[in-house]
Amino acid sequence: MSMEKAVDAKAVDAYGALHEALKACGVRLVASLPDDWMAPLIDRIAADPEITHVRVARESEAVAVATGAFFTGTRSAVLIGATGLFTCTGELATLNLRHQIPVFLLVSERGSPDDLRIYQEVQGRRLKPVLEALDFPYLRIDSLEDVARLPVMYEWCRLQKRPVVAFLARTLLKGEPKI
Amino acid sequence: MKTRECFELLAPHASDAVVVCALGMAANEWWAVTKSDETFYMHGAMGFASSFALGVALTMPKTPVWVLNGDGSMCMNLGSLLTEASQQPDNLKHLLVANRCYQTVGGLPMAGQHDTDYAAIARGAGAREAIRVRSLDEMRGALPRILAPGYLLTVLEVECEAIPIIPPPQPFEGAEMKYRFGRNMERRFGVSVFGSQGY
Repeated sequence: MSMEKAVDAKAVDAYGALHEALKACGVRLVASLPDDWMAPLIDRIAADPEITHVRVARESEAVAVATGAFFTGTRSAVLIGATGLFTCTGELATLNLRHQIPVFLLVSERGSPDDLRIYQEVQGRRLKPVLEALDFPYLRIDSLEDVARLPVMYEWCRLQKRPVVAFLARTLLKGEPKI
Repeated sequence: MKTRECFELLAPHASDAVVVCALGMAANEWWAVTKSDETFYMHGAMGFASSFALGVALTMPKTPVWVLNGDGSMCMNLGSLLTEASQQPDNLKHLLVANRCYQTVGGLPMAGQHDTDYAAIARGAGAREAIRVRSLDEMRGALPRILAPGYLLTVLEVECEAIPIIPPPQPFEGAEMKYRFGRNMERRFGVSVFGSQGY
């Protein structure tokens, strides 16, 4: 097996593991807007009849849909890219932080040192400091062992009563970059 | 017609519904008519009350869910009409209060104040049914459609009124808004919003 195929197999395992971990969290509604790292996970969720999947036109909608679902006792998650998270900060602050409503976001960790896309560079340097300024906790998931801990992270998010971001690392989803 | 008159016609029919209000005039006037703490009043996230209501409607499909939106709010998030149209849950009623101005900041006109047809925009986004109501008589006539099962966006064409600028009138906010609404959801519908430790 070539190295490239080995990496692909690992990525498939990661997306499958994330899907199963979300179900282990009790998630029954997912609202999403894809970037290319998140798309395979979103495809899996969309095909799962046990999860209500809502495709949105803007990432903040996903935040609000998941927030509404909270009040019916439905566990939910938001799946978006890092650039999309940048666009949500106002709504996360004035809806979720203001009212102390938890929302769990799985977000691609774009712009990390192993992400060599030029248009992700600012997100990589500035997104986490923005989250820190807003007092939104964030975690990093870069191994299958981390994925297995997702149910604990999810419960911790509920306890935090605010947005909590779980960044999905490139090493988990895509493997090492090629130069 | 005035927003309050319109809400006075709607309110007697809201007892079985979950109501979500966009911040500003819709929330202020619904509070003035109902004093209800079974309603979620958005105090932020302008443009996203309808997305919040969609999340409620999709996960509680047997319960009517009303969103009392404002046109100023909706125009901050027109793409949400595509999302809503792609789902169109039968229990969701989108009531769009269209006064074509930013009333709670002094009545400054909106872009497209005179010509915008919100029902046509909704239909263009894929909504099966979107109607306009221009008077209280038309409102009375539309009530059976509004109350019947099936997704519907209703544009309530109301006046932009010269009323005082007021802060949010509900005497609770922030986390108390969450707990009042959430505890009412638990009491009314038997769902478990909060866990055994209260969060």
